[in-house]
Amino acid sequence: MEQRKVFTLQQLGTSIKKSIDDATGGQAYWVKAEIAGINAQKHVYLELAQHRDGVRVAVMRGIIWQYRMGAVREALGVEMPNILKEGAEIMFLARVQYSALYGIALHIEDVDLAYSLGELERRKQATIATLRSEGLFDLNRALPEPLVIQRLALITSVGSAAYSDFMQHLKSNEYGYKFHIEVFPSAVQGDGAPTELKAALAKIDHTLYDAVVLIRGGGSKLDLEAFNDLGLCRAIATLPIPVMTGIGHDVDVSVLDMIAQSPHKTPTAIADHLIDKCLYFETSLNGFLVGIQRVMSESFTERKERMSSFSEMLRQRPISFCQKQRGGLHTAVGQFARTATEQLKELGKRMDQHAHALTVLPMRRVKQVEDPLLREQRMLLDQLANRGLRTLLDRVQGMQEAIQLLDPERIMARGFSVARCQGTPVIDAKRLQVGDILETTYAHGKTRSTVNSIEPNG
Amino acid sequence: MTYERAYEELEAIMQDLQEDKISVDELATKVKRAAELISYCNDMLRSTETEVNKIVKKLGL
Repeated sequence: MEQRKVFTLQQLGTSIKKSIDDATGGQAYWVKAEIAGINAQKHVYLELAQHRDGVRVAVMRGIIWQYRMGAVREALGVEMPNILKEGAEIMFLARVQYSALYGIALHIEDVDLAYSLGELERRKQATIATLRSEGLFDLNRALPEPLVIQRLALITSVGSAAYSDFMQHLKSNEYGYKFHIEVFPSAVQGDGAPTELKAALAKIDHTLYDAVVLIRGGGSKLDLEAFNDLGLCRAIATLPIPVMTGIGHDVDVSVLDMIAQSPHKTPTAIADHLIDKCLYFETSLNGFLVGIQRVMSESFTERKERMSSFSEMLRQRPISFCQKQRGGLHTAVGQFARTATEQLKELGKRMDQHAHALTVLPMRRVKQVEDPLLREQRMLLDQLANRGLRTLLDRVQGMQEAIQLLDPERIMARGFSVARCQGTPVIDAKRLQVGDILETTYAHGKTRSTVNSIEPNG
Repeated sequence: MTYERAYEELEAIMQDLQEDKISVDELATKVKRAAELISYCNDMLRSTETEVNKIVKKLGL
């Protein structure tokens, strides 16, 4: 029978342990690996793995002993839950330990925070690059912000401090602006957050709201990871209404903050912004009204002034116009009078000339044409005329003499007398009555007598 | 009649008046018309101004 050297399991284990210890010399190594599983009890037990092209190519156990947790916690701070979690890729300082009882394990003494954050940043940059290449990065950012945002679709974890701060801040605004808020509850951190956030977004009917508000009460840097999720970012970028984020991180921004139309640091900052917008809008409305009032009043003043200047002009202009017309008329009359006088004078002069000519010219003409025959005839005519005139004069003289013969005084001088009764000459005795008084006129003197008897035929 | 129409007519008359384009025959008619238009425009302005002030006051300014 062949001589065999047989070891007990413990001997083998001890031997392996010795080899490993010899090989590593008790030295610690920086290793990077993915956490495939985690079980945190007193100590933290990790399943560490490495994948290449989706295939697991290495796997090992890792342990963080309780007595090391203090140091690790100090190193990772608030990010510890984000780093020591399933699916996270971490870099850690570990010693390789082999135990016959538990096999090989990596005893983790330190975890590198910077590496994890670097990984976060790398994934973030990858998301940004994808969004840009898909043309989504600027979509929501480029949306115009409404003048006033009052109807809000609020995505947050109901019951969180962020939620109550936000609601309280909006409700108690000192100007009394009203906001209509509908809440779409969702986890905002943790592994399930991106899925829940996307589901909440899908429920929003964007036609009913002015904006989507996404808030969270703050958290660690690696908590932001949910907001770097590519699917969530795509959903946000393609929303046709503005998205306002108040994810609450002072130093770093998530991809969501980059693509949202209106990113803010905190939920209360969003609330302040919304109130400010209302206030600004109201103030500008008031400004418009004041402007309208001023412009109107200026316009009224100007128009009224124009009216009164018209009135003034209307009061004076026609009068001065009439005065001017009258003046013109007066001047015209004066001119007319002057002209007329001159013309009359001229006419008179000419008349005089004509008259003169009329007296002189015919005689001259007569003298010019007078011939001896005519002179003779004229003389004859003169003689005839003189003779006729003499005859006429003689006849007139004869008549004068006859008339003188008939003069009553002459007749009475020859012995006739005239009897009158009551001033009327008596021609017919029959007209007289006995007792009538007769007045008789003689060539020299008068008598008064009474009728005693009448003889009509005597 | 609108304020603008009245104002246009008024302005035309006033211009004619200023440039002595109105004959003595139509002077009285035109002056009367202008006076009517001025009082119409004044009434319009005053009532509109009152109205505007009322509206503004209602808004609490």
